[in-house]
Amino acid sequence: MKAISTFHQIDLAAFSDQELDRKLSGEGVQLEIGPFTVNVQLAFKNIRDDFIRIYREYSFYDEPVIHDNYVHIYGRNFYRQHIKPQAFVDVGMNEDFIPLPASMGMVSLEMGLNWQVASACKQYLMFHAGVVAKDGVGIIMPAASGSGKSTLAAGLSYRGWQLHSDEFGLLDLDTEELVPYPRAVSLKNESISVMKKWVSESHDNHLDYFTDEYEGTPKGTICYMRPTIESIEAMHVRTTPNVVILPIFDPTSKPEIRPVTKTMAFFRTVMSSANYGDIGADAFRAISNLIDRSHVCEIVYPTLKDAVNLVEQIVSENVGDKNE
Amino acid sequence: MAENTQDFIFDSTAVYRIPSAAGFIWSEWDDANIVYDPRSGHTQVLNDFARELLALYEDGPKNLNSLYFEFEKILEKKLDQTTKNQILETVNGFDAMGLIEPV
Repeated sequence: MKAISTFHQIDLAAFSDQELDRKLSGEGVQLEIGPFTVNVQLAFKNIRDDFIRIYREYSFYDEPVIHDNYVHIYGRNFYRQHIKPQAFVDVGMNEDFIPLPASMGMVSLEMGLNWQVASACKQYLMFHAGVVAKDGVGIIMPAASGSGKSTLAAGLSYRGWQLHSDEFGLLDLDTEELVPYPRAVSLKNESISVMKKWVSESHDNHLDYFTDEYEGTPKGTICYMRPTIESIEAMHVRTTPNVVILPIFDPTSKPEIRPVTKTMAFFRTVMSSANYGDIGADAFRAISNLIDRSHVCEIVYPTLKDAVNLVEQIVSENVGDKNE
Repeated sequence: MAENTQDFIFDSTAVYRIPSAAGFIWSEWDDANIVYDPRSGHTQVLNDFARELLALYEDGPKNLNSLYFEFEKILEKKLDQTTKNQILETVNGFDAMGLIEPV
């Protein structure tokens, strides 16, 4: 399943933008993101520009390798590539995707990657959750779409935490460790300006970390953000999870940490898993063990700054001693 | 002989048991007991009352009257009708969830 490690890896940054652009429009690049290697081919210039901006710090293989997946974004024919261009998505599994306007840039690529992982990943237990780690503390934040988990995970990553994922938490069933999968962070609507301000407080040239904003998608306006360099470099550094936080964004609330029962945390984690039913008994055991050893709670927060402070407070008060 | 509550009728002479191939997997925390049934892939949560009843079935097949008898021994008193109804509903729930089967 995994690409053969003896193949030569190169940082995308070793190539000029023109060379990368040529590869992406031709045979594609073999991009490595955490445990997966994916061949990416992009027929549209604007999508290639966004891809290079977000993924140029990643590694890829400069020779043919056994890749886990491929995502090819293409125009159905000459006319639809240039006149009101439509981006078709080929993920090698089916052709059910409705093509998106090419002006929506990386939305089609990220949609294809999401679909592949969500539908085909059976070797890892998968959570629809933000996941971060630091100093032996692994936090899973299961939540529904629109709950602010992407923003919270991304916000923590730009304050020193390793970003595993903003929406696909992966758990190795043999070792019960979290497997990083740090893709572009998907920001929606109001969270876009929040994260731009958040990143600008700690990074120069902060707009380099974001794609254009794509309006009119089924989820409103979407913008993608590059993970931190530290998270990209640590994409093979695993952590055993020991905190489960159920986040609730409520702009009218006061920041608060609420206790939840282990049973509630168990079922919320099960509900967030896309492949619990497929994996079966091993998934039950893994989540049971996760909840057994984890501090579990719920947080309600009105702003990103409040949420980050609450998470830091939970860790310092409940799991700090265990890791010393 | 049939026993009934508002919603269902249950044959109190029928003997039920835990399916021999069930192989339930349990997780137990302070507030609840969670059981995973590998045959169905379903995960159920039981309170302490239901867990105690299912444990009696784990000891061996029983009809409703023998279940009442065993439960009376645990409580060390006669069961009132409210408790009997509660047991009946819980057993019916086990049957619906596939946790027990008629012999």
